[in-house]
Amino acid sequence: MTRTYNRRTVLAGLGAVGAVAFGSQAVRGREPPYTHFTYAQSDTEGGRLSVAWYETYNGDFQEATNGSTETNATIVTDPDLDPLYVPQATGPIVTLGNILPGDSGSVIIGLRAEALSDEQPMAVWFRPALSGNAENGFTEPELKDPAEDETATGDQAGDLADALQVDFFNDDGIIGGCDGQFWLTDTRVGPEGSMQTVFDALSEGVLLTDDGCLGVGEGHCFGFNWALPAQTGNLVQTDSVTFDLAFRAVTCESTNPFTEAES
Amino acid sequence: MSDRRRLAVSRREVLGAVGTIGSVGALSGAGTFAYLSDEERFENSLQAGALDLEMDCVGGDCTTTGDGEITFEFPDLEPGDSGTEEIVLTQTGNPAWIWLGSTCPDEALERAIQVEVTYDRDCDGTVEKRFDGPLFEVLLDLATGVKLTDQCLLGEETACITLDWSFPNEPGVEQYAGESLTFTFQFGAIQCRHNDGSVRPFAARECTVERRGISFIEVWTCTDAEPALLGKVELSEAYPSGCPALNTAGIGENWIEPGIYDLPVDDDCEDTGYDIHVTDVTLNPDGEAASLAFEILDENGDPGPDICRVVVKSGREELVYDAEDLAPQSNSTEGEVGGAWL
Repeated sequence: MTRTYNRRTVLAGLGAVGAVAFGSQAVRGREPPYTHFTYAQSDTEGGRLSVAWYETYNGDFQEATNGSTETNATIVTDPDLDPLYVPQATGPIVTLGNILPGDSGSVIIGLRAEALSDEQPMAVWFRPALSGNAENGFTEPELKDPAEDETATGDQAGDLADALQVDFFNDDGIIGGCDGQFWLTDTRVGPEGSMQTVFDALSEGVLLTDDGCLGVGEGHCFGFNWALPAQTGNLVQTDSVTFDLAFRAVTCESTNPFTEAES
Repeated sequence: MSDRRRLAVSRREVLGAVGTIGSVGALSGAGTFAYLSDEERFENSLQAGALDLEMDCVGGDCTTTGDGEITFEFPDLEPGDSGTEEIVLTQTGNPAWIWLGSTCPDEALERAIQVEVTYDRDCDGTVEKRFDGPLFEVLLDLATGVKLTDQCLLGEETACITLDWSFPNEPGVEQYAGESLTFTFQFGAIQCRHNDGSVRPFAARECTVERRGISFIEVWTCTDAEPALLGKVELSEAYPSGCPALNTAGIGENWIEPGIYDLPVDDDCEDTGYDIHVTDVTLNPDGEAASLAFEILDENGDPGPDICRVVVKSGREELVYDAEDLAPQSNSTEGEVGGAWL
């Protein structure tokens, strides 16, 4: 990890006004330092965070970084193996339209600091947000479930956010880092529980890099697991959730960018 | 790497040049935040699938009710009647195992009705026989719930279930003429994914089947003017275990096998000194003794006293055979006594 107090002091003093203005222009011409590295303009100003990901569904490979066919999770996301990082996901990552009780899935997200300057460490904050929890109508068996509320309407009336069990963790332990599984040396991010509970608990954002900022070129693996328990039953038939997982990289000494942005 | 180095140099120069401007901006712009930052936002969606089984009843004597049930009602049945009912299943959504259950058998008439249940995936006329036999037996099998096939029914697929029934005109069925019959089938669909077919979509029913075999035999003699009870054999588990001194090997619950047994006075293990020689036994489909023939022997194995009355408890009924029903002036029954028909 690179720590250059002079540079940080300078940048902190600058604020970002100048840096952003010149920074984006300067970086545009930069060559990718890694052969598997694709660089493109980010839609937010300032520093950069590039990403890699690997998705499984019911234990099988589903999708990796922007359509990559690499099926080894660790190669896709482990920073030591020069994974393919991209500056942005070109579309939704998890898009599954027919999940059933007993289903589960995981996403490993590889994050890498691509600072505006070559030595600027970054802190990475994470915030999940539930944007929809829809009922999408009722099937006959669904209506027979005594827990179903036929009168609930609107895009938050569904039952899937309460039924789905999720957990987030820093997949960076000594054992099994970047493998999508939670091991004892990994650290949990937020509580485990229903999607509704976990997302509520993390609604103000949480610092992922609490044990040290990412130096330029340094990576970090983050895991997301979900499961629809086998005993869920008909309550969730055709229900859907839409949700965002947002990662925000800021300078190392910044406070929570999610709460500040809203203040 | 030369490009990178050149870039780094130019960046440093740029930043140095703008340093003062940036500081001013940060100080004057109170309340605004413009830290270096970047956000990566992953948009995701998950939607649960559907699974819905619909049923239609084709035929005059069945109706669909809630919760996957189909009730059959056959009023005023007469020997010789028969018919066919068809159920069309339509599966919507995900592949599913289809299970069939039923209410427990509860009427004697069900033993006289013969049925055949067939399954036709896609309703294309390729019929598999699934169950056949007396309705009583079929309901007993179905009550716990049975998976109809080893193949999942896919979304938008149909299947046809046919129930052919008949009321054969056999000896003994006259007693049921004019009775009506009601029973219910239950269909359930359960997802195939993560399920090898062993998970039931509905709870298994446990049926208590009424015993209908012989539970005791009374032997009466007429050495005096009035019939007098000579002895009584209980066909129960308790009798052999409760009376170890008597020869009871071959006697069980509603069951006895041909052989020679001690004839006890009553329920108290006292031996009459006579033996009952069971010469023939007919078992019912449950393996119980339904009817039997016997003779009475004395302690030397010679013919015992003439019998003029036999009382057999068969199911709930006590069947009484008097002298005219038995072999005249004889120590044996004429043919078997017991269950009226089976």
